[in-house]
Order: sequence, then structure tokens, then C-alpha cells
Amino acid sequence: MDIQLPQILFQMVNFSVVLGAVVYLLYKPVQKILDERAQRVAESQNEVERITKEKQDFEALKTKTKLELEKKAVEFLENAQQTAAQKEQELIKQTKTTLQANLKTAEARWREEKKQLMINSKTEMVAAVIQVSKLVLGKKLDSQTDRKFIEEGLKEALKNI
Amino acid sequence: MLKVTITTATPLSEKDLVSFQQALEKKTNQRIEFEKRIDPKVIGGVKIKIGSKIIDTTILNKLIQIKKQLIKQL
Repeated sequence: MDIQLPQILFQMVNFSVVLGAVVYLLYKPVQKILDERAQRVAESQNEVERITKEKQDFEALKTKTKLELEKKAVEFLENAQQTAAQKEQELIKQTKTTLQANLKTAEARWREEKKQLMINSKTEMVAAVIQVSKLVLGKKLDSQTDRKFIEEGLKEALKNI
Repeated sequence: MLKVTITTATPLSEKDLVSFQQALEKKTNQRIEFEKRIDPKVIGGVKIKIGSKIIDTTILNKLIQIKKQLIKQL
């Protein structure tokens, strides 16, 4: 086997040149592209993580807010129920008082009207009795008795003058 | 001259009138002039008005007084 050293050297130089060219022209740009891609992927990853975290925070805030709102709604409802019950009691009490006062007034008015009616009827009765007395006395009084009345009246007049 | 109004239900007898006139003149030392009125509404008795003074002993007046008393007591 005939080994030609110059040929080997030439091949080695040739290979080195090709390797250098490949390294220079292909490896570096590819490496650069890969680095850029890796960076983009890392950025995207970070962005995804940030968004995920934000989403989780938002969900937590949403849940917390919802719970707080529910709690407040329950408190508000309880307060409203208590206030309504208090108002109801006050209203019942007030109505009761007003009704009692009205009842008393009506009762007093009824008593007064009854009293007035009694007085009126008695007055009318007295007037009727007096009227009947006048008629009876007017018919029954004879002239002799009347003369006696007149004499007494004249005597009384003389006394009082 | 003192004016006296006498109201009765039936006419006053002359005897009573004269007697009353004399007594009244004696008591007041004045001459009396009578105005006689007949009013059946007074029923009986006599109502005498001397000046501003009224002496009412009529049955009507008595009934009115009774009526007032009864109404007052209601």
C-alpha cells in the first residue's frame, strides 16, 4: 500500500478548510438562531407563567370578593330582616296605641252623645209635662181660684214694693 | 203719677183694683195710673209692672220656674 504523505496533508488541509468554512458559515448562524429561539421560548414560558399566575391571582381575588360579597349579602339580609321585624313591632305598637286612643275618644264621644241625648229627651219630657200642665191648669182653673191667686199676687206685690 | 201695668188671665174685679190702688198710693205717696191687660196665656194669678220692677205671680211664671229648675237638675 502506497501512502502518499503530501496527499494526506492536502486532504487534511482541505478537510480543515471545509470544517472551518462549515463552522464559520453554518454552525454560528444556526447556533445564533437556536439561541434566539431558546430565548423566545423562555420568554414565552415566562409570559405563560406570569399569565397563569395572574389568572390564579385573579381567580383567588374573584373567589375572595365573591365570598366577601356573599357574606355582606347575608349580613345585609339579616340586618334587613332585623330592621323589618323591629319596624313591624313598632308599627304594631303604634297602631295599637292609636287604636286605643281612637277607641277612648270614640267611647268618650259616645258617652257625651248619650248624655246629651238623655238631657235632650228629659228636657223634651219636661217641656211636654209643662205644656200638659198649662193645658190642664188652663182648663181646670175656675174663676174663684184664679181670684184667690190674684189677691195673693196683689198682696205679694204690695209687700215687695 | 206712677204707671202700673196689671196683667191677668181673667178680668180683675173693681173691688180688688180699688183696694190695691189705695194701698199702693199710700205706700208710694204717688197717684197711680193703671193699665189693665188680659192675657189667657198667663193661666192664672197676676203680673204687675211698676216702673222697671216686675212682680210676676202668674201660674205661667210658676210653670216656667219649675221647668227651669227641672232642666237645671238634669
